Amino acid sequence: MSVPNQVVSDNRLVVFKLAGEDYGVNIEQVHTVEKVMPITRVPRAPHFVDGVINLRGEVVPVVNLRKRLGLPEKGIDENTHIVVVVVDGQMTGLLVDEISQVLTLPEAAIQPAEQVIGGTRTGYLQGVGKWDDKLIVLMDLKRVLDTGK
Amino acid sequence: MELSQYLDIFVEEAREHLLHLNEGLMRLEQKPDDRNAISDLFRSAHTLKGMSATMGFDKTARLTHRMESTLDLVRHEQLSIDSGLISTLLGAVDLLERLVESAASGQESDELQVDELILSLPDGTDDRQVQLEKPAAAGLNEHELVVLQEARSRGWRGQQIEVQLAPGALLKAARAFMVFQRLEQHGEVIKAEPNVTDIEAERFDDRFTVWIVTPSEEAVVLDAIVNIADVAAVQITQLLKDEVAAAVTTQEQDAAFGSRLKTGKTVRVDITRLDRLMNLVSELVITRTRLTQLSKELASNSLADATGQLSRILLELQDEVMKVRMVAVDQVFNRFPRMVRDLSQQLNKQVEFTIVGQETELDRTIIDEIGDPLVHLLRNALDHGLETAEQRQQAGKSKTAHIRLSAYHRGDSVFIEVNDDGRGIDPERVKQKAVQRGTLTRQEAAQLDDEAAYRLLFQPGFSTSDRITDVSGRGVGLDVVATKITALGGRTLVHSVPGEGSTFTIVLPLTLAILATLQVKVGQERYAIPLSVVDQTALIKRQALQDVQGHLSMHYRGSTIPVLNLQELLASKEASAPSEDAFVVVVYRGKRLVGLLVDELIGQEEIVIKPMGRFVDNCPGISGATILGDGGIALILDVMSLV
Repeated sequence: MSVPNQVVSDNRLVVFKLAGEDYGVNIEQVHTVEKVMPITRVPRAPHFVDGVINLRGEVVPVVNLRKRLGLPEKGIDENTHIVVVVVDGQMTGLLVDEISQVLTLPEAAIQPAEQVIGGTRTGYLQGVGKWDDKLIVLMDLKRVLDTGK
Repeated sequence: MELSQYLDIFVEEAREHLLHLNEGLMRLEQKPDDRNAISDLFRSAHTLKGMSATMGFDKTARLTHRMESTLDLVRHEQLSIDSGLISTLLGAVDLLERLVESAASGQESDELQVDELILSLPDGTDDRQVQLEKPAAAGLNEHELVVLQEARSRGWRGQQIEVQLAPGALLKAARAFMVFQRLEQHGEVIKAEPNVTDIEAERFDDRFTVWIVTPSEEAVVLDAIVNIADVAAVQITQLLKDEVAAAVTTQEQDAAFGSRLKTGKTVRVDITRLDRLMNLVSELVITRTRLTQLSKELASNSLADATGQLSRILLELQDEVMKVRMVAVDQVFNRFPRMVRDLSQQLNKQVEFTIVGQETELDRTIIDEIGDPLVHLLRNALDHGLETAEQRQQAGKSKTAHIRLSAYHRGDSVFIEVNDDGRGIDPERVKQKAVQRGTLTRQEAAQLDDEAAYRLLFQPGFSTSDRITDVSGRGVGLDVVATKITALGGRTLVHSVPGEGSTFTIVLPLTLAILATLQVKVGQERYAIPLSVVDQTALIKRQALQDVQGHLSMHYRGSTIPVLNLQELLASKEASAPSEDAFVVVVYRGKRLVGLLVDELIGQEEIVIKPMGRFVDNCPGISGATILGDGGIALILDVMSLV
């Protein structure tokens, strides 16, 4: 029963790469990170859903983040990973190009996304953080995984 | 508070008693001289009173106490039954339901007032108490009186039981012994006359008297001993003044509840535990499939033997767990007579409502889900299906309409039917409505057969009723029914003869978690088709398929049925080149047969249904997924929503 320090827990991020950029999700939302595994296509699923995987006995849908964010598509290679996140009690896999690192970002290093990035992607983003000389885009998972229901 | 741990039990048992009260009152309304119904009602009110007093739910206790008094007047024919009294009592039951539901949170709601209702119920408490009070608990010594007193404070009752054996009965001591044994199952014997030693030695004529303290009602105790051989007559007299035990200390209340829990041979189990048990069994089924595959790959006989044995045990285990989860549909059905009564009064229609097959069992998870759909169907039948009494007479039908709710097993499915003898549904009118709503063109409508027309009823927002009533609203309902039933892996059928009535049928799988399927390959992908919809599989020549503007069909059992190309429908990427031979799985889509063109038949397999998760749980044509023995995933096809 750990009640982590608010500042630390809020900004501990799992960072991954998508189309050359660094993206981060809050580590508390991450269930596990898996190497890419066989994905079973689901007919008539939304276009950004690649299918479902067998995650140790559970069937988990996999969202192709490049497609979801409107980035150019790319095939699967040895660096491809699936970040399994839990939002609203449901597990969902996020297909990403590669996993970079886990890091803690101080609150002060985060700015609203609109000031840095424009376009459709901002709807899915919470803000942008600075780490060394890199920019890390913080994903708003609730919106990325909104089913519109 | 110490009692909180008993709260769940209280609420659950109270709900059961409220159901009994509802049912009993309905029975009494039909047959006012039904003595059994009166005693049942009295018993339920009494038990509920005792329970709620023990839990400190004062309002519930006071109201049930008054109901008990009223019912007692009825029981002693000092008050006659009319519909006014029944309605007042039903009103009291409704209020009790609200009280119990609010008590579920630990406290009765302050907003609910019982005093007015209490005053509207006729009272005869004083007379009754005089009648029931036996003067000075005759013949008991001081010690026995103390035991009686102590039992009374626990909410138990004292009874004097006079048993008369048949004249000339042999084995008198043995019979008496049986009486004692049965009585001890219900409470404690505090005294016998003649005393126990004499009775054992058969030193008595053919009559003896026993005093007991017991939590049971007189009638229950009577039932227990009256059927023993050679028992000719039993008379039970209550010894204690019967009143709400208000001044009981908490400690003693606990003891009373505790001892009540120890009796009985059933255990109440939280449904989530059963779910977990079922999940574990499901995991075992998957593991078994994997083992079976391994034993084939390794070609090991001893492994195959062991796996075979494991399979048999697993099958039994699965069966037992499934049985434990089975619940009679009565749990859902028993609410309906009251609902139908109220609605028919509201709509001013005379309805005779019958229930058939309420003992039919279904998996608990399904039971929980079918309540709402059935409410919709019954309301629809009452509101739209049935004519008014005048209309019925004009049509030459009996004034009283009939609605029948029936449940029965067939194969691996359970059928639930709502049948009415009302005006029926005219398929032409349904089509007209659909054309008006713009969901169909006139030409399309003309081509539809009756069954397809009835299926239109399940479209969102569809209603053939010209009126909008309180009861079934604006035609919202049937689409909800269909969606819910499909989600449960079932299907919905309609049959109707205009002028004679309609039947809505819900077909449900016995259990949700494990499904017998036919596994097929479409392209390189594997799919599972529920065996319950499969009629037959066939290997045919591709030329034998007729192709009319891309619509495939084939001859099957003397008629032509449509054939769906699954590769096309499911937009399979790795489409294989069409071979000369084709496999067709003939399935039921509603009542109609449809062929599914697949690339390969893999075989039958029992699978465990897994939920699909976000974004993919609503894809038309796919109802779920399963994990295969090799760790792969097969999707489960839903034939109804495929096209």
